Amino acid sequence: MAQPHPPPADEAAPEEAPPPKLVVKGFGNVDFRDEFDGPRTLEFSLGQLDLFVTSALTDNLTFLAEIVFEPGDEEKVVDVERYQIQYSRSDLFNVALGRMHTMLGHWNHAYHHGTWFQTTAFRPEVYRFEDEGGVLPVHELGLRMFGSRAFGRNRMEYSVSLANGRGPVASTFENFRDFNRSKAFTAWLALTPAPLPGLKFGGVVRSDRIPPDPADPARAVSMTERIVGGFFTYQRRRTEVLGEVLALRHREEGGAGREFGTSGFYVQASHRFGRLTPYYRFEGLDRGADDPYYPSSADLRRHIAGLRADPWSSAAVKVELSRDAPDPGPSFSAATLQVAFTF
Amino acid sequence: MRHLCVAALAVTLLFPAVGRAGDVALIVNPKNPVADLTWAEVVAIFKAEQQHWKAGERIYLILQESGTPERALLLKRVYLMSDVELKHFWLAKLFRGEIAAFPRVVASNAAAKRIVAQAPNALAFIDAAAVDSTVKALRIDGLKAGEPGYALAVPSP
Repeated sequence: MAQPHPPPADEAAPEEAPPPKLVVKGFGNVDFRDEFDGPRTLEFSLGQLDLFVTSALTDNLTFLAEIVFEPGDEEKVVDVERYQIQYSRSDLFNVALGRMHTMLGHWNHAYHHGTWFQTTAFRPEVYRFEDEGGVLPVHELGLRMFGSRAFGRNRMEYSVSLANGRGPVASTFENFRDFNRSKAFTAWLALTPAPLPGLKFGGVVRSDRIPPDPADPARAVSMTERIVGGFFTYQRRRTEVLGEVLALRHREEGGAGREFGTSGFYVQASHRFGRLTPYYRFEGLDRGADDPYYPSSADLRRHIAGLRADPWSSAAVKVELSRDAPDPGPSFSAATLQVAFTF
Repeated sequence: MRHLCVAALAVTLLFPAVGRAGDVALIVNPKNPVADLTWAEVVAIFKAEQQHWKAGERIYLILQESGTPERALLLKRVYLMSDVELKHFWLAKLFRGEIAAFPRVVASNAAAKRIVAQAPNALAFIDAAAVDSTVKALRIDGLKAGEPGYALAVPSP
């Protein structure tokens, strides 16, 4: 939300407001990964280069954009991940219009492309991006109303949005059209109870109608999508515990009316000792068997243990060991060294 | 006696909320109708969870730069963070779209007062001893700087 245009500290107030300032920040990471068994890889890789810009156009109007450069993908090098204009009437009433991160729980809007923000090297599998085979609509294009209100020392936050629904293919995101007239509706609510400092919890419901895919005989009919999720975060100065669970259900319209359920979860804990933060995460993803909307139906259980070091205020080094147990498929372990930074 | 009363009145008008040196006073423009904040409101405002005055105007938050004793007290009492952690805190707020710009940072009590004196919606913190008639010091939970139990009192030696 905007800071009102200030008068200069050492001058008289100008007659006209100064032009909007553009704030530009960037985030990036470089990884080195070794998979000990199973696929057996040993490689360096570039993470996303995330350019984040925001500007207070007036006291109540702000613009925000996030442009991600994805090195190595020749067909799609630049992606506008966020592009939104926001009007703020009060703490309780704000409206944003454009492309945004879907409010699904905590991780998706708290970290998203900003790898440096997250304690771990990688995001949970349930929050994998759409174009990387993810199961959730982590972006949306539409209208969102959101805000917060204090009740005594407790605080409530809400977000409701109406957006273009998902397209016929899960891995694509359309910036210019919707494939049907029905819109995705998302309602998110979070509470921060004062008696338990650092704790926040909440939930989300989302409904959508996914159009058929003319190119895929298995997707000949539309399907409804329902997402229900819950999350909690416990964040104190040195300790962080996060947990989320999301359940997604697809139901074909007409015909046999088949139903497919997918669910994912993670729980993550870390504690900082000076500049070092050891962490652990357990996560899982159970894809609905034979859900025609997803190209894969592989399930996953994953343990991650790592150490994050923050030797500098703008860069972190993360060393992470993981053990993946896909189903079907052989289990494998991997080690990752990541340098994540902001500039 | 009459002269003493006049002198006392003049001092009260000219220096309406002078507190103990080292205590931190929250100051607003004299035109701002707000006179008292609860501690929960202070924390919410300085953490940008509350960004509007109750009348609806947006709060223009002014911080003092790193190294000042006033900022050190705010870090200890309000933010419960180190200086670096506070910078990360604002960056995360910016990234999540919760703020569109970082709070204005000034170098001194005098600079903070100058801005507050000009900006009707501004809120800043300064050494309570530096409060003068160009700004208005807020009470916190009904207490002025210098009064026992004031939330932003400098720790006793």
